[in-house]
Amino acid sequence: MKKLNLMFSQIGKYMRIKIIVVSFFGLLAFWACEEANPIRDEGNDVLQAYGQMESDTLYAIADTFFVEGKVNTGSSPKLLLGNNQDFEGRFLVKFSTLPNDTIAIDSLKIIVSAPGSFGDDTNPILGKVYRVTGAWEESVNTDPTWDYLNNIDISPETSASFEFPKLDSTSYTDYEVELPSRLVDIWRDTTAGDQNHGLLFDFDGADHIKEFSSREGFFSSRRPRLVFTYRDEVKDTTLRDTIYATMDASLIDYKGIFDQSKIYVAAGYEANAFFKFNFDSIPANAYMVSVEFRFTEDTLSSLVNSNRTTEIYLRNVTTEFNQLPFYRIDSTFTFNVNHSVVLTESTPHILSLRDSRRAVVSRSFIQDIINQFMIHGSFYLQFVNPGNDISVYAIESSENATGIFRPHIILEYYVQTAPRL
Amino acid sequence: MRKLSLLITLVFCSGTLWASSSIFGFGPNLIGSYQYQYSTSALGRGGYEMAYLDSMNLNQMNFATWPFLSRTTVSFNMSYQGMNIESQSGQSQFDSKANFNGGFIAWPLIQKRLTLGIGLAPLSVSDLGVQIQNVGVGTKGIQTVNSSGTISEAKVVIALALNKNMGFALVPSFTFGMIRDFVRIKFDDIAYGDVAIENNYQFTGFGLAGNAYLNFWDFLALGAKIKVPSSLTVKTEQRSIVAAKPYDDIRSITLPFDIVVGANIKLWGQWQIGGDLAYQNWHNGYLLDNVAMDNINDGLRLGVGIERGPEEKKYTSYFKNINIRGGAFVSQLNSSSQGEKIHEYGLSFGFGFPIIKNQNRIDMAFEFGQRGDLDLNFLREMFFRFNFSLSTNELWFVQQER
Repeated sequence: MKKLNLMFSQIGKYMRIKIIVVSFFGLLAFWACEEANPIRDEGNDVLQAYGQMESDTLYAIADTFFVEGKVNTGSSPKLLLGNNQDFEGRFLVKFSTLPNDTIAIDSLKIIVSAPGSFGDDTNPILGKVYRVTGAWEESVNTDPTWDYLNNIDISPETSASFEFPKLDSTSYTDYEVELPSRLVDIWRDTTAGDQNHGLLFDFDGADHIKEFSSREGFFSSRRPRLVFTYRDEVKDTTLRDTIYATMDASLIDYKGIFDQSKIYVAAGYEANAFFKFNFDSIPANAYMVSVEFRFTEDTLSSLVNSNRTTEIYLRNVTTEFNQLPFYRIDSTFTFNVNHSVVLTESTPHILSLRDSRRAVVSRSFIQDIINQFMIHGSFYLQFVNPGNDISVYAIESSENATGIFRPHIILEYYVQTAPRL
Repeated sequence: MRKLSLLITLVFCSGTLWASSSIFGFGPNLIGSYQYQYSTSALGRGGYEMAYLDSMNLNQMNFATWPFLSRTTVSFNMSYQGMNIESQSGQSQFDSKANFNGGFIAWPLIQKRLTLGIGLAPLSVSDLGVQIQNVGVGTKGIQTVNSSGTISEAKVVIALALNKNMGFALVPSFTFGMIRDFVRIKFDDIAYGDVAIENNYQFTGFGLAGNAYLNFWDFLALGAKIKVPSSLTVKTEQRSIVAAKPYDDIRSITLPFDIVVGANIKLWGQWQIGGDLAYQNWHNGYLLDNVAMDNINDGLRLGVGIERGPEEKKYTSYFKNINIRGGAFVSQLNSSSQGEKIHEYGLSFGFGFPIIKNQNRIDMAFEFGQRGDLDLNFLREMFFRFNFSLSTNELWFVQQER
């Protein structure tokens, strides 16, 4: 009996140990399985740094100064700017093309180096850098028909002011002018021909003339140079593309005289504007992450209350659009309104849509067009004025404007990579 | 009770065998980090067991040793791994995880002659995250890629001992599992929509391996394993939450042949030393739709170690019944980074604690080492891993020899 009790006691002890051990492993296994969470917090991910800021420099490919009544063939090692005893100098400079818009340029500046000056340079030279809109040669000063005033863009969006103080060294003094980002868009846009005609340095007030080193100057590093910074991109990232309207038209119920080369959207009068874009250049596996519509106001044709841009709605059209320019207000053309998003004036005279929650509907709509889920996708603008006021907003059309002044969409998208297997 | 606990554990975890994996196993055309399926006791010896005959623990690399076990034996393995990953740019990240690493049961149909067994073991694992900063053109974006999943092998073992010196095993296996890659991009600017894309890869296939164990001399034993090239079918599904088109595909993967050879030498007393050499011809043998991949290297592994086994005397101190192990390992991974081969090396030690002598044992192994080189591969992983296993020998279903 004692032996039996001892045996049962040992068996019981042995069983308890095994049960404890097995239970321990069972719990550990259960915990391990529960740990199998496929999505982990970002904090647990391995970080790899990419996309450092880089800078690059473009040197002048053409430059020349011009002085009224004087001959300059462009081969001078100097560029003159300023006024001294009625001797006035201005200069032109041009650079090669900026990289395309798959990289984001963060800043843009021009640097010119001055070895000397004429006259008392105690006071600074005040002036502006203007975008040149027409082609020129380095011998332009000999061309009596070339008037610089008719070949520059004086709009504040594309020009930059500067103040060049007294030279600070006996050798070269570098002067920098930060250029507006709008210039980047324009220079990159080659869809309407070469838009990059360079820059003009003009002065507003000067009592001396500064000499700057030209591209023919003795030191090549002192040439006029354009420095831009950008973020170095990595593969498998987002791309940017600009899509211009391929068709646009207004449906207008107005019998008066107006400039028919523009697109109108109005309240009070019946005037809606329609736009169709061709997304064929966007890869079929593009994943839209950002959509920005841009319409440029024609300030001369915008008649009344055009500042009420928040009352302009962008709507999606889902019906066929092929013959839109020939439609009239009494036509049988119909459209389906899926979504409405409000456009705002992001910068003066640029009507744009980019706000996140409102833009998302158009982003999805464009995604559907690219996926070919939406066969007849297009857009129209509607001015919804709650009162009885007449409001008219005129927009540059795709047929009569050039470059980025045409209606366009800036898309950023992620190109979905193929699965790894 | 014991059977039920083990069964529940195995069944519950059969579809999700998890192990934190090397980041080097993530990349185009790869199926995750290839796993050497050593038992915990072998890992304590640096990962050698091809020619090691263990009376308590199931040898998970050479099933030809199984007929020499006289009882029904169950072993299953778990681990806890911590890993610090450094990049050349100076960033580092530590992560840790507990994992279930499979288990086996061996049943002697005819003692010392014929053993039948089944079990699960991870073939390849993917469990990692990669983050890439500043991916946006117009705004800053952060791209995160999470990859998780396991490809497992369910094995059937038929092991036969021709005599007391020679054993062979045939091991057909069914390979299955799923790996999921989740790509997400978040942008700083709220005008940007986040990207979320999921890629699921589902694997199925069959494999076949053969094992041999030879012990013609008292002091020396030899073991070998060969696994013939096997074919996997991978069903790919790409889905995105917002918009992009779904993508489905079915492809075939050929896994390379796998050869492992090993030797075990008995020294004085209870001491033994040995080593295993493993090779897989990934470079030419890993095919995707019958096409070999670039940047794939052959897999190589050398593990050597030493063990002091328990005293054979029946009555002795508990300490003398503990297995004490140590070893070292070096390997070449099948992937590459920055166009350079990736190497792993480390040290290990371990213990085997008997619960009931000759019946139950808990094995523990501690490994630590390094994968990759910051200068060559731009990334380096420093890792440690605690491995645990429980082995139990029972008389379940065994017909005793008379």
